[in-house]
Amino acid sequence: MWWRQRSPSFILDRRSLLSDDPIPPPPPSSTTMSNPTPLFPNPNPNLSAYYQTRAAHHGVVTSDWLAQAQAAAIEPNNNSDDTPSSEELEIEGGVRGGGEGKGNVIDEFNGWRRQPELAEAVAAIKALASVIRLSGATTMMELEIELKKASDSLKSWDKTSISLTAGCDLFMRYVTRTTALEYEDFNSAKSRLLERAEKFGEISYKARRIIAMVSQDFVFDGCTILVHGFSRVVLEILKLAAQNKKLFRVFCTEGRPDRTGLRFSNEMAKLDVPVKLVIDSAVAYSMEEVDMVLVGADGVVESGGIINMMGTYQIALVAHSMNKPVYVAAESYKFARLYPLDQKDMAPALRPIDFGVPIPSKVEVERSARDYTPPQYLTLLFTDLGVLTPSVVSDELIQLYL
Amino acid sequence: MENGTIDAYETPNLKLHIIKRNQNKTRNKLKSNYSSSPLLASFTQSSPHTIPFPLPQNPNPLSSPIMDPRRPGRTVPDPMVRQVGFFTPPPVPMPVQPAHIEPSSPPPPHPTTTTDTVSPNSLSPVMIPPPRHVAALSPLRRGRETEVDVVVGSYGTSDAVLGVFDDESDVFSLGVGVGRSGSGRFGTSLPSGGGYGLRDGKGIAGAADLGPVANAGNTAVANENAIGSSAEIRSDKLANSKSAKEKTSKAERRALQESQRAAKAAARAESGKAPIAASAEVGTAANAKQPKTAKTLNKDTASVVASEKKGSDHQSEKDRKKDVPHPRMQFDDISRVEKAKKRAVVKRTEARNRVELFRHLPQYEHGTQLPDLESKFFQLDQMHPAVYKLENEAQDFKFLKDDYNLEGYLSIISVGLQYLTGDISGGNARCIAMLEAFQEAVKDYSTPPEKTLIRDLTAKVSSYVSFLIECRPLSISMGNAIRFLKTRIANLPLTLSESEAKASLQSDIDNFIGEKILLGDKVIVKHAVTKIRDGDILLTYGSSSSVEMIFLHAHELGKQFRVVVVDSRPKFEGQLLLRRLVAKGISCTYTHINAVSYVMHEVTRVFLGAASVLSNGTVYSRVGTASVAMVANAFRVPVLVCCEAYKFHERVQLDSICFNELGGFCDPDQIAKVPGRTEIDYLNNWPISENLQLLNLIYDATPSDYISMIITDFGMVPPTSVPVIVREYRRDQIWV
Repeated sequence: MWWRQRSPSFILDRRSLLSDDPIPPPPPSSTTMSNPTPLFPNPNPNLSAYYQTRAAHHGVVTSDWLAQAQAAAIEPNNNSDDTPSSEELEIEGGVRGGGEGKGNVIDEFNGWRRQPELAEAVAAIKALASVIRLSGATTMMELEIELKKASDSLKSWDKTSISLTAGCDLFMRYVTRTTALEYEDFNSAKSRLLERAEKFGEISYKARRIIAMVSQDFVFDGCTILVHGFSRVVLEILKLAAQNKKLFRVFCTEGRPDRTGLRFSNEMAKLDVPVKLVIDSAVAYSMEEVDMVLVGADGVVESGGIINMMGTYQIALVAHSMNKPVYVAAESYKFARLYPLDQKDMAPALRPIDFGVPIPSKVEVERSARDYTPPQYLTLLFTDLGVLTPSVVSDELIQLYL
Repeated sequence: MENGTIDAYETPNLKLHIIKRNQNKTRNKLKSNYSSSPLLASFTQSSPHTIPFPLPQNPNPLSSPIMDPRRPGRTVPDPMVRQVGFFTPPPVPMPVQPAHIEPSSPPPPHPTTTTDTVSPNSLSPVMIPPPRHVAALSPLRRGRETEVDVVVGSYGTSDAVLGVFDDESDVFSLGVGVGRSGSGRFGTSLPSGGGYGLRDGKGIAGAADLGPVANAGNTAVANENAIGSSAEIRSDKLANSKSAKEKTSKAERRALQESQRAAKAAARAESGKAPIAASAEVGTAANAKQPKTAKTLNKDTASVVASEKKGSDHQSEKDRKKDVPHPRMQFDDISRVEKAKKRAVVKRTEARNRVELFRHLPQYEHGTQLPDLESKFFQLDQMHPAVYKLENEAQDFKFLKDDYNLEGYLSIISVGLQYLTGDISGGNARCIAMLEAFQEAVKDYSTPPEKTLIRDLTAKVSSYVSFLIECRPLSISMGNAIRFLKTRIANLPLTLSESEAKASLQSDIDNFIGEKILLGDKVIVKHAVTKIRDGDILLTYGSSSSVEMIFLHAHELGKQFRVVVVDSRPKFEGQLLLRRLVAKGISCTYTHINAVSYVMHEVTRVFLGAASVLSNGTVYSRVGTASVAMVANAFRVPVLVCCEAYKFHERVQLDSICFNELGGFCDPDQIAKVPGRTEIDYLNNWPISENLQLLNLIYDATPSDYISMIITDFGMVPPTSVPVIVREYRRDQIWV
């Protein structure tokens, strides 16, 4: 899928590929199949779990999606006895899974990630915490190995999600770091880790509040903010700004095909903030009215760039060429040790796209759900670590992971 | 000190660098603490003579603000005054002092107070009289003052010196300066006074027991023989009177001045005879010196004033120089080049038509240095007495090798020769060869008697390094490795025995090679391979060992890709890489850099090696890299630079001009001639033309804008993160 049609050799390559397999299966599905957890396959190999989570959280409803989401919800339930209720699922999964570990983590995670206010990374950390809680390990080393296995299976279950990977890595990092601290005995170390894991949920909320506070200075009276996608952090920022009696206007992109913009404009209308819906292709048209672009991020990568919902890159490009600032609001647990060089340099997260009319099978559809915005098009990052320039991300990551 | 210079000249104006310079400064300070005067310290900077106990210093309240409190004030920008000033014993050993004074010597003036009043004076080259307020009145001191007066009287001729001056303030300040030399004389009789042994020449003779003479000798030497010893002796006495000054009341001092002025007038009349009279009072040792000094007395004292005045500028300049990082050798500085030439082991002819823009870099002609080096080989004796001895016996290489001490050095020489001829090139290869040679040298090293391993070995390593530099300028990675080694040597615990120390150093070097270079490469390969996808077309320039490993590994993993090897004249390093890649079955395209803009459009990744990565993200690499990176950037092709973290450097460089390598082992002739094509040797007789300059650069600096990613031991980082890595890892891995 990643050839570039730049030289004749590529066209040749492409032909041979096309004849073999018109739509090569996305990497996540294949890895899921080879995963040591055949019990819980990724419910829909053509859909990234990342996208499923987003859809569930944001209430994105397309006809296509509905069927698939139902399949996704039912399929694991057929295999296990979990109920769809996330609370119950969490408890049951917790109770049931003690003996054999791996499928269990994913259950756990699936349970947590259905909670709308919970970020994926936090869900992953909570799932890992339950692994600790149920672990029969008696030494720190055993526990670590067990955790490692769990986080690996979690990561490979959905390779497309950046914050899931980042959350797993972060938690593993924390565990391996604390073992160095030499607790007096294993049980206290274990309880300490659990405590920490519990805190992560709060951190997730707290981070959003911090970011909202930190970024208030950037929302000035009379400004027009262009928002793309539905980001809980961005919503929090604008909520706080509205509470602070700031006068501003919001442009929401439509966000096809998820229509995230529709939902976001609803929220804005609730806050009595003047809001205008802009179709995705009208971004450049309306950019001259815009004072700043504010987007969330699925992941912040090592270069300082962000991976976010499809369309962010082009908005950033337009904003850059018109000298408008592009601000990114992202919690620090979204910082990931990834370094995409270009758009195709990441595992694609695929999503269904409903065009309303049947598409001939010969027509290829770009189904990736997100894109990568290089750091040179971003102005500042609002994080719970403070307001950062893109180049600081790498600094933080190096300090965290090395 | 050598270590310090290396740091300094490789570090520009970064925070890190400042820290390091501070270290240097403290090192200087420590050193000058040892060597009693910063002036002397600066004189003896590269010599290991130091005295292991602190010397009398001038605790000056007006010392400059850059000094740290540990170091007693170094007051004086003026060399003459300052030099004299350091004869004051410190206030701390004061209570002990009287016990050590020989009974015959006149009772000491209160040294503490002396220095206190006196030092502000020494600050000023224009000689302002000492402030009055310091002259506190105390009965105790007044009692002493009378004693001092007696002393002055007993040396009646002392004022003869002052006779030269008409101005009262002159008298004052000279008295002041000498006053401290007077108390310094007492210092010499103290154990701490042994510090004068530093100036081992004349000073040491007297330092033993003859206080005045020793003092005279010392100051004379320190003054660069400007002041005669008799003047010192006289001034010595005057010093006593001067030191008495602050103990006396204003009126008393006035009276004293009057008497001095009178004595001065008298001295002016009989200036010739006076010294001899003085010498009669002093011991026999003094006698030997007196006549000579007597003759030159007038001239000398005059010259003191003169030199004091111009010396002040000179000194401040010197201080300033000490503050800025030690500059790299600038080859357009003729005097320094001459000096370096004298020291050089490898004699090389300079290029006739040097390129104007690069005059600050060494420009040599090629091919002449090899036979020269062989003939010069035995001049290495300066560094190795053992070689010198052996030279007389047998000039047999093998025989030299038998000598335990030479083994290591020979390995260094052979490495140097390989650099010279270009047999070893490539950052990692050169660095490993150098480190292995050092390892040999450490193995065969044995501490000479009466030397400490740490100091001596550091000096040895420095001499090896300077030899290697003569063969070919060091790469930055080698500079880092040397710094690592020196830090390790310096941090060796003193308790280690020689064999243990050597073993630990050897294993340190092994670890450096293993962890920093070899393992670093492995990690880089592991990271870089993830960026190669099936169907990629990868471009590389020149021949980088890590890039080669990446390609080979990716090929082993079964990735389908094609490599474009871009090469350039005159070294054609890419051909070697091409051979190795093709032999492994990787499909390759070979082209010259002229065609890079044509091939770039189909390339998906550019992999480049680097000689160094500087902390502003600039990549310092084989010349041509910058243009490849620029073209790639214009085509929006990601540029990945592979560089081990040990090559990172905190220097900042904005262009390829201020630091580069040219001439030398890489011959400008190479670009004028095309081997095997005599019909196009249009420049065959190029040296005849005066206005033709051939420029053959080796490195260039690629701005960080063109670089998408730097792959290093610590993963894949953006070029903006280089200073982070330098900050986080340089400190604990090399400096500890």
